[in-house]
Amino acid sequence: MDLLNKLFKPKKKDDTKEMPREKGFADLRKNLQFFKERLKDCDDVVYREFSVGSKSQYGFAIIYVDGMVDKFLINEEILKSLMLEVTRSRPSPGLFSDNIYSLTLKGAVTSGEVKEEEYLDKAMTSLLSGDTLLLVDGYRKVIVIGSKGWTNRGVQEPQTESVVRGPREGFSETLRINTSLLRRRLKDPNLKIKQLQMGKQSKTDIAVAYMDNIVNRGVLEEVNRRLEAIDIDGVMDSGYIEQMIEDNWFSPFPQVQNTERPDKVAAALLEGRVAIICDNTPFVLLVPATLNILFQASEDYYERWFVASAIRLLRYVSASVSYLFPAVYIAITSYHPGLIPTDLALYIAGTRSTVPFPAFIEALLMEATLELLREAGIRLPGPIGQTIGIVGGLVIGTAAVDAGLVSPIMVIIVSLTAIASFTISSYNIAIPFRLLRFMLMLLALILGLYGIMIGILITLVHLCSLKSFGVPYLSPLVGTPYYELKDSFIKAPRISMQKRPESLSGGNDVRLRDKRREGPGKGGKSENGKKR
Amino acid sequence: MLKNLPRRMTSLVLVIALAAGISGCWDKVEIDDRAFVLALAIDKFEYSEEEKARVEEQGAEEEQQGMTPKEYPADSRRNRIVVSIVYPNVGLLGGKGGLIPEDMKFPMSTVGPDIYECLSQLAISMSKDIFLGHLKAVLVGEGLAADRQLFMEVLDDMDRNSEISRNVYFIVVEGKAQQALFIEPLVEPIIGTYIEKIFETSARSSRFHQKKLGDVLRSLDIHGDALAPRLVMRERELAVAGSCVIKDYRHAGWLGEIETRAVQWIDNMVRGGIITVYVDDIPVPYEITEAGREIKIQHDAGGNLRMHILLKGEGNIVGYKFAEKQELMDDKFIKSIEKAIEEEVVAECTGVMDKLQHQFGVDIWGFSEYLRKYHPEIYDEVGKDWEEIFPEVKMLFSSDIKIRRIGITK
Repeated sequence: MDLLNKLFKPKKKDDTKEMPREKGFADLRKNLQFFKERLKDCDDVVYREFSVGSKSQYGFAIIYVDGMVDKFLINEEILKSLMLEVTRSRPSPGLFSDNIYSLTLKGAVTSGEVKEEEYLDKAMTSLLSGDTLLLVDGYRKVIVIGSKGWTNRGVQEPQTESVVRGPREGFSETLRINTSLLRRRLKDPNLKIKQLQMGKQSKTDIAVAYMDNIVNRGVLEEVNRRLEAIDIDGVMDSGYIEQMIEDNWFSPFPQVQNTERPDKVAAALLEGRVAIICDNTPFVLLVPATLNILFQASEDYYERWFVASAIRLLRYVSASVSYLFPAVYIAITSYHPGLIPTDLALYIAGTRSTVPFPAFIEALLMEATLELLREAGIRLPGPIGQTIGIVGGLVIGTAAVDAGLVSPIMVIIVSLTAIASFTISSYNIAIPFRLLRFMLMLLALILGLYGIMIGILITLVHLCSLKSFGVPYLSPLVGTPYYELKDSFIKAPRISMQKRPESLSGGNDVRLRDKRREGPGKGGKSENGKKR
Repeated sequence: MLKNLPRRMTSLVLVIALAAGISGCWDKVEIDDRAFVLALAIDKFEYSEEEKARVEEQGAEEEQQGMTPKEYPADSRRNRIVVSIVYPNVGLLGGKGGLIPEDMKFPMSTVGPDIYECLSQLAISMSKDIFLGHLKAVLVGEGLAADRQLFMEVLDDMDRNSEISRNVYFIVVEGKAQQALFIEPLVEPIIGTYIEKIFETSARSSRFHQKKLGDVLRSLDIHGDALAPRLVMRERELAVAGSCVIKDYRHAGWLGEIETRAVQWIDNMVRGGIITVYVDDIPVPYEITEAGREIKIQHDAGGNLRMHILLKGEGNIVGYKFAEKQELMDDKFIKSIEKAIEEEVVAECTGVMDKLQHQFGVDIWGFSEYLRKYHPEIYDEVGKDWEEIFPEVKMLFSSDIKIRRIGITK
């Protein structure tokens, strides 16, 4: 226990202390001094002092971080407005000199996003997030002009979740673009996007999105509570957050869904789930996540229900294949050859007669090779990755068999498990099956089919005890009304899925009405009948 | 969660350890280290006359030389049965050269007191573990089946074995089972699969009895009588034809192929087959497509039991003679053929019933069981002495044959 504590709960060493809050100075020079001192050796920060007024009597300065701002905006909306256009207008001089600050704020800066900031530290954060600071001599407050405008890769097709049919837009690395993709799909005031910052040094923007009228309040509160509890120096990817907020970090099963697809997130919000969008990553987190949800692909909902149902069943079958196949092979060849047809038993025995290893070592060897190849293929750049594929295919496919190190049946089994694990819709739910496969192989080695049953039971017991933000992980299968099963192993026709899943949403459960069948005379169907 | 982890891990390890320790089923053998015995032949140990003479001669010689004669196999208590096995050379199936012997299969045989002793004797000369899970057929020699004591021992050995499936074909061989097992068949090299294929593909001919080891054991367990298929050896082929009547755990006699079909008809087991009747000396083959039977039991005026068995059948005429014009289209002619077939069927069944009632005295259909289930009042009366009553029961056969099709010729 102590050991575990030491391993997993290291003592906190806080290397960053809260900076004291400092208010701005009335003197422009002092203010500038403050920023220059703090941002010493930060050569990407640009300071520009200039004077405004017909006699250039008012001292102004702007500060921005080069590369993070929209320079066009700074030039056109700030500098040009203040330095040229202000001089052209001629308001009463007394008013002008007295109220230069509020005039600047309200009248002169033509940029859209402007706010004022009392504290210099907060202004600093804005500055480093890509905003431009406008300092006015003689005033304590700092004007923060929203000028974020760095280069991004724009909205591209998601790499990990491609579809045959469905939108091809994917999230990108910029939070604002991502939230806009959501807003475009849900033009409803109930779509709330609450922002907060995380990471003492990275100060990463995080947005929690939900539908106010649908969301399960308990889940939302839990999300907020867990997010607030995070105290970390930096957040590089939503994966950081996932690992900090998940229920059980000893489980191989992911309890948070991630996706690159805005349509998937919007659909999830409509079911009452909560999205956590993190700046600098295209992967948006969705909670709660159940096993069933992780087995779904967005395309299931765009295709008609026959094919969607068939594909879902196929996915569950392929997950079991990926999980069970090598273990079953070991169990059958080592313990229960009586279970397979005689011809097959004789054939396996024949092909294995020159193999020097027991079935377990043979399977382990091949499965390990498969994992090696997969890892090598991911890490290597494209063209070399292909080479690995060819070499690996040769090694696994023919050379090992020809050398008599493995039996051809084993090659079929390894290829089948590999292909099966690739058909699982999301990458993170395929991982536990990949890992547990090895546990099952070991159990099959020790106890045969009996061991496999024990392994399956252990997995099931674990899955039953697992929860994601209070929702049971096996949700539509346990403790939910039957209608939720319409969206599980199969997908019922869209028209019959009239209610939101009760396990996820908080009330407001009707999502669809079949107006064609409601009431005589109203629907199109009966009208058609009359016409005939 | 973290707090419970060590306890959970401990219980997990305990579950697995207990499962491994208690179950005691540690039989891990790699599949290529198993010898897949597909057929097992069991014979009674018997010396041929020549061998007996040779052994006696040798014994006398040794006695003359002043030695105590060794105990010769013929004299030993251990020599009761001969167990023979054949297992295929699976290496050939793998298609690899190298250290694999060229023979298609490996026949082995030994003498011993019981099946298990024999198998363990065989095992010490084999490079592999004997595996009976894929056994297809058990061949029992005529001699063994005739020896009640030995036969019961062998049956029990098989009954208690968990590895031998009840779906194994149990066949009595006319002659020595070992000879049948070691035959080099032309069509299928391995006897076990050969026999299995015969059973699977030729079941519709109704020419042999369709019972498996489980059926035979159950039937023997209930009344000590059973019908098992008969295996006939030819030079390079085997034939499953007819059946062997087992009465009181002992081979009592054979039934031919036609007789076997009649038995099965009475047992409602016929699924097909050909009956040939002669119409004006022209053979007319009739193909059975459906068959059934109905039984009625009553007391006659004298108080004796009477069974009416109606044998029903539907089928096709598959041949008559070329260039006949209208005969087969003639309803009367068809009726006459039907009548001829009915007579043939009744004759066959009456014949086999007579044989079983009076020659063997065996109720292999289990009519007593039928009575117990459907006519308990009669069973109460006769159940106890059924063995004596059965041969006295009056059996009346009638038949109802329908011709449905006459082939595609005009």
